[in-house]
Amino acid sequence: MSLFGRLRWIALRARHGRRWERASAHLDGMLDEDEAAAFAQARETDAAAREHFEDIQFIARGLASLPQAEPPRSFALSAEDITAAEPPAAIRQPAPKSLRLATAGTAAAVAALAAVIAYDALDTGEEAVFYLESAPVLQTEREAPQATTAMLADFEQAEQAEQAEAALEEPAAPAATEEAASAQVAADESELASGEAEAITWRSREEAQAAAEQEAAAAPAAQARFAAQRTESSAEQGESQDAPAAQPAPAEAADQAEDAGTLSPAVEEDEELAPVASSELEAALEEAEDEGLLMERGTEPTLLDEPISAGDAGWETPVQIALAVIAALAAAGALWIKARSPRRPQA
Amino acid sequence: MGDDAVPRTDDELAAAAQSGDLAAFNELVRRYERRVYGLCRGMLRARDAAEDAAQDTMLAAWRGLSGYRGGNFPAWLLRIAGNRCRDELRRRKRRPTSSLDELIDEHGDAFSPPDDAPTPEQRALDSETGRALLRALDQLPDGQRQAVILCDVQGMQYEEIAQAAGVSIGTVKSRLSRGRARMRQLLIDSGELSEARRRSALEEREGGS
Repeated sequence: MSLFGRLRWIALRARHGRRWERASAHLDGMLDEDEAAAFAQARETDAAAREHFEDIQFIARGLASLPQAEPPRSFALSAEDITAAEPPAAIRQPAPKSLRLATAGTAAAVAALAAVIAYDALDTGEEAVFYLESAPVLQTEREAPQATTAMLADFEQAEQAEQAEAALEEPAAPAATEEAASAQVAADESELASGEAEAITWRSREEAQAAAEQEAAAAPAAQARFAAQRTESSAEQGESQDAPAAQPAPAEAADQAEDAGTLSPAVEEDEELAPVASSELEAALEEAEDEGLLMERGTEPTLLDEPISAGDAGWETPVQIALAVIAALAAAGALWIKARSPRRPQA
Repeated sequence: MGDDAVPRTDDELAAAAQSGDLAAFNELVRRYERRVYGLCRGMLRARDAAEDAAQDTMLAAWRGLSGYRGGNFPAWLLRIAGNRCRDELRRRKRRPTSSLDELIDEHGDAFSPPDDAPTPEQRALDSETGRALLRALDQLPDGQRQAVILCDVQGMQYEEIAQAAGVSIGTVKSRLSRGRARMRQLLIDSGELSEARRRSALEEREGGS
């Protein structure tokens, strides 16, 4: 039917659809008495309705007079028909080559990704162990601004009291007393940090890596600040007690304490991580604070969110890449063999 | 009179077939294969396609017997056949096939009026008129064509047609009225309706005199 014919048909249907339906239903005897009477009256008065009804009646009778098509054969089923038609194909045909390639490629990609993820998960375990082992040192430096600030006043008060007592008892040896007090403070800090480190073992590897990076940048600065504060405090007390003007540097004091056998291993680690000049450490501390890598004082401990770079995930490791390639080739080969092999015929 | 002489109802045969009785199912096939094939032939035109569709219908019915819950078995069977025919028609639309005239010319004998049962309409419906009707029928949408075949060709009631087509009775009524009206319009546009009616009226007068 042409476009014009379609448009005209739509218009006719919209205009006469109801009348057509009544005529068709009347032809099949589907109208009740009232409707049939109304339609009969309309057919007498409306020539178009009458003509339409007569036409469709002619068409219906013509169709009914067409002979029924005789089946060329019987469609009764035999046992063989049912058996042959059970599952559509007893022997599965190999899939198209493009489908096999697409399937193999997808499976290879998935297998490679799974292999990398699995290896990375194993690698995570190793790094976690390393993190826990190194946690006391890192955590000492990480929490230094917060932990030492809260305790610094107490230590300083204790030092002042000890120094005052020592000055009264042995005014000729304030330096040795100060060195011993500093060593004790460092040992106490290390113990505190160890306890805190154990409390955060729940942290994930990523957070640990990010924290480690941040702390590595901030650790020398924090140590320097703490050492500087201790030095200033000792100097002030030394001046007030007429002590020798030249106070030994924290590193020197630690060396002396180490020689005397009074320095704990934790202090050794602290001293190894703070070999930088004070001015540079102060600058690094300020920079770290500006970048938000250090927690503000007086706040609750929070995790520092820092995105992990691609290098941290270990993708560049040659072993991982080799494993991924091997896994992909194995998966592709298995799928290829499976796609080519025919299914065992079903009984 | 033995039990074998008592014809079993459709539901009895269907229940037996559901339990694996192939003979009972084939009895149902024999009862309704003519109607199934007639619908397939009217929908698909080509003899081979209609035969394949009818055979597929029987196989699908055997496999799907567990889904038959009783009621009107021929309507259930014709619904399967209608679905098969629509699938085949959709497949044809994706792939070009022979024209309708070629199909009618190829299988026109099957639609010729039989000589042994002449009626006024059959006498009027000579080969040209029959082809015109079939040509108009073939231009109907699938749903309307199915309804017209089941009602006008096979003489089914609205309720049976609704079950066979899986639609409501109101939809059957609408499809029938639109299908008939569209066939009328197609025959008017081609000039074949007036000619066929003229020939029919002439035959009636000659038969009456």
